[in-house]
Amino acid sequence: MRKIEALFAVAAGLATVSAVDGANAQQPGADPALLEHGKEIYRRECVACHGVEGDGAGPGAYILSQRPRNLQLGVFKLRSTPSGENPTDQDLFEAITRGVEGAAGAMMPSFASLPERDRWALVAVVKDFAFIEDPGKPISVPPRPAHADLALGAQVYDRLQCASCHGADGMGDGPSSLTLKDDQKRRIWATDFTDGRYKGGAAPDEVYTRIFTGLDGSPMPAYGSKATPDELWALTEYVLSFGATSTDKISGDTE
Amino acid sequence: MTINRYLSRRTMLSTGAAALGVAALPRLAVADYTEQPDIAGGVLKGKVMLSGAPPKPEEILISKDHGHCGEGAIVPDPVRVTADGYLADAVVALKDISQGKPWSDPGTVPKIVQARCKFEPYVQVARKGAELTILNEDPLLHNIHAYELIGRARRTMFNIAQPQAGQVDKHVLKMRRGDVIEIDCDAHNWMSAWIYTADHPYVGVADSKGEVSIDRIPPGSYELTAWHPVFGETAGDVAVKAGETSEFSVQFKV
Repeated sequence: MRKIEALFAVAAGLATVSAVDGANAQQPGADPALLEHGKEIYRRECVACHGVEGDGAGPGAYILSQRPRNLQLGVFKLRSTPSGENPTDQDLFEAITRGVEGAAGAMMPSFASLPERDRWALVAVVKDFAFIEDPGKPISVPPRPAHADLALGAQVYDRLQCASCHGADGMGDGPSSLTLKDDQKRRIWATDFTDGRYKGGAAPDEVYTRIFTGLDGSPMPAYGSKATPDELWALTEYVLSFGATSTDKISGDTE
Repeated sequence: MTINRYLSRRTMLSTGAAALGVAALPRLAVADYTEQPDIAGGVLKGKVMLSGAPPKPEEILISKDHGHCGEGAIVPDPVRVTADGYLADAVVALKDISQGKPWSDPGTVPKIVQARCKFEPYVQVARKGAELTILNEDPLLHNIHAYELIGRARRTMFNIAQPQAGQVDKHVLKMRRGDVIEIDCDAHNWMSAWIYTADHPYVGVADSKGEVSIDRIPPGSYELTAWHPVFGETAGDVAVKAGETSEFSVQFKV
């Protein structure tokens, strides 16, 4: 680790030099002190997986069932923004806070135990690595209907051919699940809904958002323009129903 | 004179990042291009060739949707080469050209169609920042998954589901640093297409005889690059004279 920290110090030092000559002056509103603070937190908490350069190739990356994000690419699965758009600051903050879990195992741990200011400082670091100067505009998620229309949800699941990857029973074993690759051409699995675990969390609003925007960097595409909000809500309820072991889970009181 | 640009860019990316931190990585410089509607200029006419035996093509088994996609195996990225070595599907482009004929010439509005579980066309060119029209003609789920190639990394540009026939999406081809867009369908892993993006319209795709022609070029000396989905990029120099047709040839070596 000593070597890594030394490298990071060199990188940070020279980055400061280039900031002086204006190369880093493109982030209006960015708080340099917050970014510098974030780099300290990043060095302590994040380099093991995301690497000194933020390229997702830290020394611990190889043990993970899905590789850490290459932050330099600026592509994020958990967004409230359309496919291809940058995430919002809030999206990044929530992902850092919540971590990323999924049917393929826990991937990124929750950093909820860090002080809020530290987590916002990490958001600044991620945006710096990813060159995010123009956060995307979030989609609007209409209020969750009081009644879950599971029959309609099943129809939409069929029409949008979710079973192609996620399987007719939601177990992640559809015919295309065998050939899925992530953006770095590594094997990736379709989420098994019966576990009730989702990369962006099991809150209904989150599941709705994942279906709408897709998970960039994974094979999951955006379906937002292919169904009405009512249909997307019915589909969300249907997806959640695969993982429900109690009425609490169906009503979304799992958080 | 083969230049593996991907390798050199990767080297730049990794050493640059290690030495300078992320602040030093260059952002996309938006190249200005000035259109000159009246330009006559000269013509470049070229042949793209492959020397050496083409590599054994990678085949992928058609594993689903046989009714629409067919049976057997498919080569996602075919090397289409004639018996006498002329290579199709290579993109030839002039480098560093900031003014000339208008982009409005035909053939520069990008469109991609998914039909019988194949993308059509396989290789095309587009202006950086142009709007791509995406059409699904198959009555089954395709997802158009576009990546910008940056060094050896693939950067997702967008990933949109089209579960029904007749669905149309549009997406602006906003590039960060790369020129090449790779297009996949995760639902049918043998589907493959490529879009080469440029700042200027002096770019063309070699036809089935390996022939490519670029017209209305301002006279001068240029570096010319040729890129192919399987063989990467090579480069050379060409000279263009007003009112004349100059010939060139490009060779990819296996």
